[in-house]
Amino acid sequence: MAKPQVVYSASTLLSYRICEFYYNGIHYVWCAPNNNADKIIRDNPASSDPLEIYWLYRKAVKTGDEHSFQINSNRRGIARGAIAREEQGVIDRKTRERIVAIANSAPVQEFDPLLYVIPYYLVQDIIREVDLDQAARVTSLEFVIENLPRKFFDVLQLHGDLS
Amino acid sequence: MNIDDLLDHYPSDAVLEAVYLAGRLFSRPITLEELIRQLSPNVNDEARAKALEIIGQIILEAEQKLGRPLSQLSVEEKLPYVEELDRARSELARRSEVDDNETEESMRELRGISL
Repeated sequence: MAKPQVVYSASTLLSYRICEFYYNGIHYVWCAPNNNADKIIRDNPASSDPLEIYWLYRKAVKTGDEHSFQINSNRRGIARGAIAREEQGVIDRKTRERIVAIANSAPVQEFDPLLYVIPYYLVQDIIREVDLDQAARVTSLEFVIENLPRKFFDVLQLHGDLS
Repeated sequence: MNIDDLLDHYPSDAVLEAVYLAGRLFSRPITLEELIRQLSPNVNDEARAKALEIIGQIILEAEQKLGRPLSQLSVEEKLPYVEELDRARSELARRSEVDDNETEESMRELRGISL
């Protein structure tokens, strides 16, 4: 099967900063090809489409939506990431608790979205294709990179409105 | 699910893992088995096993209340269960020894990180 040239991941400024500051610039990302840019690759549902996710973050930040599912999803991911990094010995218990507290109380504005642009050839040895069921495989392609060094991706901030 | 009971009976790593996994499971058209297959194997097995136990209880509660299996529930029907678990995450942060001043100081440090 053809591999994508590039995969994208939607993240947030807070998540980025935590990875840079506490995890030595190592990032954990779910990523996928861009629906509209790569005609060879299958389309992903909105829940795993980086650009869709990006704009959901953007809308939540712009409107100051304290109850945004997308932002809460990032809060969950940051908290869980802190546990994983503690288990790996990257941070200690106290730092983990600090990160969980930050994830919980950071204001919505800290979740400004970022789009990571990741050339596939740079990560082909560390990227893992997500195991989807047979039905989902027809339309979806999603990957995870558990230890992505900063030097392997560019960061974009897109501006504008969804509507 | 009673949040206080949950926090009394399960370690914080298991609760935070459950909150994360429930968020993914209940916001996507995937089954619990598919979610498990997607997860990295190199994690704390004990915490994950307990997290899956929590999620199993939530699924059971949702299915009994709504009268249909998880696979037939819409995302809108499932999300309140994730939001309930989010309360557990907030409560865990509240119970930690990290005070507000320390959190704010850490936030200031983080804001100094550029792209």
